[in-house]
Amino acid sequence: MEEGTKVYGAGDTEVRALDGVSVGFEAGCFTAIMGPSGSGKSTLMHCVAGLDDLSSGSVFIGDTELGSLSDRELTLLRRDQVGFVFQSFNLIPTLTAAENLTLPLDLAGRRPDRDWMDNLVSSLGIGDRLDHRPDELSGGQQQRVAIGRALVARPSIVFADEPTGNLDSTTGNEVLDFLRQAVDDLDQTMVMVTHDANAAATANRVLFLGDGQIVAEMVDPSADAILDRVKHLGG
Amino acid sequence: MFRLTLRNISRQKLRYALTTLAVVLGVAFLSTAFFLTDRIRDTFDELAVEITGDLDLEIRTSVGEGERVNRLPVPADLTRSITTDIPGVAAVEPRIRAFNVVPIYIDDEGEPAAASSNGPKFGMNFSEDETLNQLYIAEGRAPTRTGSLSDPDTVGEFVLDTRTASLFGFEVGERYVVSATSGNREFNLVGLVHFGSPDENKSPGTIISAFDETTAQEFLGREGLYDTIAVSLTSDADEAEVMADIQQRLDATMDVLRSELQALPAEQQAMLAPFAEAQIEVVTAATTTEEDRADFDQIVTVLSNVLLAFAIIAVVVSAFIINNTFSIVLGQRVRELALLRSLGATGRQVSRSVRLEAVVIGAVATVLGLIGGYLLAAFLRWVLVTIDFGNLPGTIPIRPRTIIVAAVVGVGATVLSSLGPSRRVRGIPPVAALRDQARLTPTGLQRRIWVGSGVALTGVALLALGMTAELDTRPLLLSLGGGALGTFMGIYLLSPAVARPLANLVGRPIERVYKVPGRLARENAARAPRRTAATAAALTVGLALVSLAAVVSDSMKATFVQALDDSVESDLFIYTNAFDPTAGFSGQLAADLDLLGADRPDLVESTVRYRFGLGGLEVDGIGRDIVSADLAVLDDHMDLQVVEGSTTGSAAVGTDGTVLVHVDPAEDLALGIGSTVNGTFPGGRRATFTVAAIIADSSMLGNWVFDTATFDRFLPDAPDGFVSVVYAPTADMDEARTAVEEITDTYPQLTVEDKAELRASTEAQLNQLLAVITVFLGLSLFIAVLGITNTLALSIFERTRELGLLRAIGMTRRQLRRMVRWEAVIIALFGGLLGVGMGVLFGLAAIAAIPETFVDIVSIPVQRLGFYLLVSGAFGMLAAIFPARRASRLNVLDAIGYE
Repeated sequence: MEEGTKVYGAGDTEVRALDGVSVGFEAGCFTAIMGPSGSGKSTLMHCVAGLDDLSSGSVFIGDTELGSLSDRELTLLRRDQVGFVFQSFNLIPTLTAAENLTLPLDLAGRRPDRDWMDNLVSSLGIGDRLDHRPDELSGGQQQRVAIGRALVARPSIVFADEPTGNLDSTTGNEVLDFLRQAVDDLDQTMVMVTHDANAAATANRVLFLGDGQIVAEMVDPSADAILDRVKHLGG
Repeated sequence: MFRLTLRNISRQKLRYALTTLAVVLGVAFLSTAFFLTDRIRDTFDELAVEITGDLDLEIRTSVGEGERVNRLPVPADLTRSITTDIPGVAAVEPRIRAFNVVPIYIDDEGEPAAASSNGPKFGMNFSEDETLNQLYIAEGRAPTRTGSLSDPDTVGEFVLDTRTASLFGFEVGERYVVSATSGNREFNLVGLVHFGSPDENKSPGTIISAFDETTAQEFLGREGLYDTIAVSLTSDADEAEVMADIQQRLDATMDVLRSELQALPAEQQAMLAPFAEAQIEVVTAATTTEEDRADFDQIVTVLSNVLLAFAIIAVVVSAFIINNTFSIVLGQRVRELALLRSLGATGRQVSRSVRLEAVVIGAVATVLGLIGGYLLAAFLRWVLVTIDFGNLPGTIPIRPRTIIVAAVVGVGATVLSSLGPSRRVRGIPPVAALRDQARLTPTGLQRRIWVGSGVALTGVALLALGMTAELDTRPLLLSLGGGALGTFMGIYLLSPAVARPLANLVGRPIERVYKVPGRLARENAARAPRRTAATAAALTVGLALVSLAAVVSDSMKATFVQALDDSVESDLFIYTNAFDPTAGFSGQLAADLDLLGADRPDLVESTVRYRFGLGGLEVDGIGRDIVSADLAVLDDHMDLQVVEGSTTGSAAVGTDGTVLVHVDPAEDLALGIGSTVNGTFPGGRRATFTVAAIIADSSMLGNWVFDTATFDRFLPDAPDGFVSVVYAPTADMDEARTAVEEITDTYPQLTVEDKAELRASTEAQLNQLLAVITVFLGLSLFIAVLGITNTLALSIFERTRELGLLRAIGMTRRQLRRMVRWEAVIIALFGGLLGVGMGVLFGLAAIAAIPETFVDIVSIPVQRLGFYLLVSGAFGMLAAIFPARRASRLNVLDAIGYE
């Protein structure tokens, strides 16, 4: 993202959610974005992922500039090049786990690569749950299916928005391990928004946002170091 | 609580807007039926007064149980004793009112064409009397006597009503052929007249030709006769006294006339006998006006009942939609209602607030519906006037009855539909406010299946009973009607249970074509079976009725074709308007055809004329519809499936002739070959007939068939209803037909058809009728479409997050629209399948209830029903346009963040 600015409202009620942010997410790198509520971390993710448009500035995924794309082109780009994992309500309740998993491919009318699928399913450990519907899966299983879905199209980049926010710590750690594994083993580019220092510690790089700007950056940090920095920023 | 209710409604405008629209349409159709028929009724009431005119008393023959169209004329000599000499009598005016008088003009192609109208075509005498005249010269002058019509060189004069003249371009000063039951004759058109008022023509859709009195008597078959004699009284007269006086003079004069008749030659005596023997009565203007009004009222009541039936269907359909909307909307508001409960509102208060919402919606919808109904009635009046149904002048009356019924139905249907959901609301626990996924608990599906099966089985059993057992009319209709209702309610209750499998079945092929959107559409339609079933129910009702109509009309068609094939032997049919019981034409045609037969026996073998007397003979206290034919050659023209006896059997000594009786009345009255039948004709003449044959086919000629000669003696006035022709066995068909048409061409009001053409035109008429019915039922289908739109809009609202997720992970807007669209199609096809299935079942039941004369053969129009299914799918598409667009416009971010 170059000089990304996002303004909501106008005049007295104007809010600058992003204020001239320039940031890049390296291929094969796991980046965590942290910051207090209202710091602009979700807006940053939405804009970079092509879910929202910038007021000014530009966003590139690969060589594609998102601002020039139509809604349809953006949708196709999301389908083919971007993966999403949300905090909750990640799956379509009427489809089985397997169908949810392959949804982006099915929407594109592409056949899933069998080996790749088997590989995903076995590493996610959901082989025996594929025929179940989301309401028959535990929270952790649901999130794992969601991660599988984000990875299935082999996108350029995966965005995870508080993926562990609704999980207990054990399950949450499993999910984080899996995200990490995807980056390490599959060379997947990953961006995760979180306010949990432990979760952020899984990443290679942590960006701190405040008032719409990047206020700090850490590389390969420990959870304690992150907590310190959060306290420092907050204080 | 009331303020909260209003807030709720105004806050959720869109959700309620569609519901309200459904009620508005229901109420609108209902009030239109009232508004329009009130206007028509008023018009006819005014007309009834105008037909009577300014007379105070009317002298006429009595008709007993028969139809008034069969009323005989009175002897003209009665005016010898009925004069202004009678104390209290101010004026006496003889009236001639003959049917089937058709003026003929030359059309744009230079061919003779008959003036046509939906109403009767009258021939009248033009009266100079100013107090009793009903015709007012608008242009030209009154017709005068130019000479006796027995002189072939005489060209008489006539006047025509202004409406007919302007419709068909008749011009004063021109010469026209007028066709009456006595035959065709040229007249000079000397003037145009208004009927009923000096300023405007008040006759709705009738044709009136008028002549001077003597010419009218000659030309309209009233020599020595009048149809009625109108009498007006002086202002100081005592009506009862004058009536008694007149009646006394009538009886005395009739006695004189009868004795005079004895002196006449036998031939003339026989001709005048029916009139001389008729009973003469004198009645007040109030009586005749009331009779006319009652006659018109019958027609208007039929129309009104038909419109009301369609309106009620529309209301029932909207009730389903309201009920469904309340269920869904309340389901979505569970948390909010639970919050109210946790703040201290009792369950009863919450449920009352819901009912209050229903009252407000019902009231608003009633007001809008009444306005819409008024506008629709005004529009329909414009249509009726434009298609020349007739004038409906004056304002459309707004009766308190219309408003009360609309309010009761509008508010009532809404509140009734909200009762179920409002009761369920009472059970919401306060803690539900805190739960994430709070739901209304519906009644158990299990119980529903049991109750539904019970109701449906009872319904089917009643239907089966009605179809197989020999029941009287009333229990038969009860068992079939109750059976249909039970079956429908049962299937409605059961439909959620079949919604999932059936939606899956219908959705499978769609999924194959449209992959993911198709798959999601199927799953969405199947996920809430109760909602799908309730939404589809509205469409089911409409389609069941349309299919019912299709099955019945197709079976009627098949029955008619069968009857035509089985019983009709003749080569050519000649008729005028098949649907007007008074419509007929001159006996001159048959006479001319007989001449042709005598002249060219190599072309035409024989001609049979058929005449009708609706309720023309009273037997055993019931007015029977009778038909006459030339029995000597009838067997060559029609196969009446004689069971016993012979159509040419002879009459027993002392009886007035022979009669052929259908097996049904023969059984009822215990008649066999040689039995005698006693009956009374209009005018009170009694007669006795010998049963010559028992027949099994009543499809063409009905239950009672007489010989033409017999008919002539008792109903001499009846015109020919239709004529059939049999060609000579060796005749060249084309040559024979050309010869016949040379004769019929002079009567452009007639239709000439061979067997195939008759079949085609009858089928076309039945198709037209079906089309009209289908259009009316289409109104309820339109409401059903609204229902699907409504449900989809609400479902989409509920699934906002899910839609956002789909969009985020790469579903295009087009795919999303496709998903919503196909969900609608699946729901619609589900409703369509149930509807068509039920329609066929009800159709079979209806056929069982309809007399065999009309429907004997069951025929199911598979293609048409398949087409209906396609149409219901298309309606689904239509219903989805708005919700699909709304869904595809959802902002992805807002949708994901939506709670």
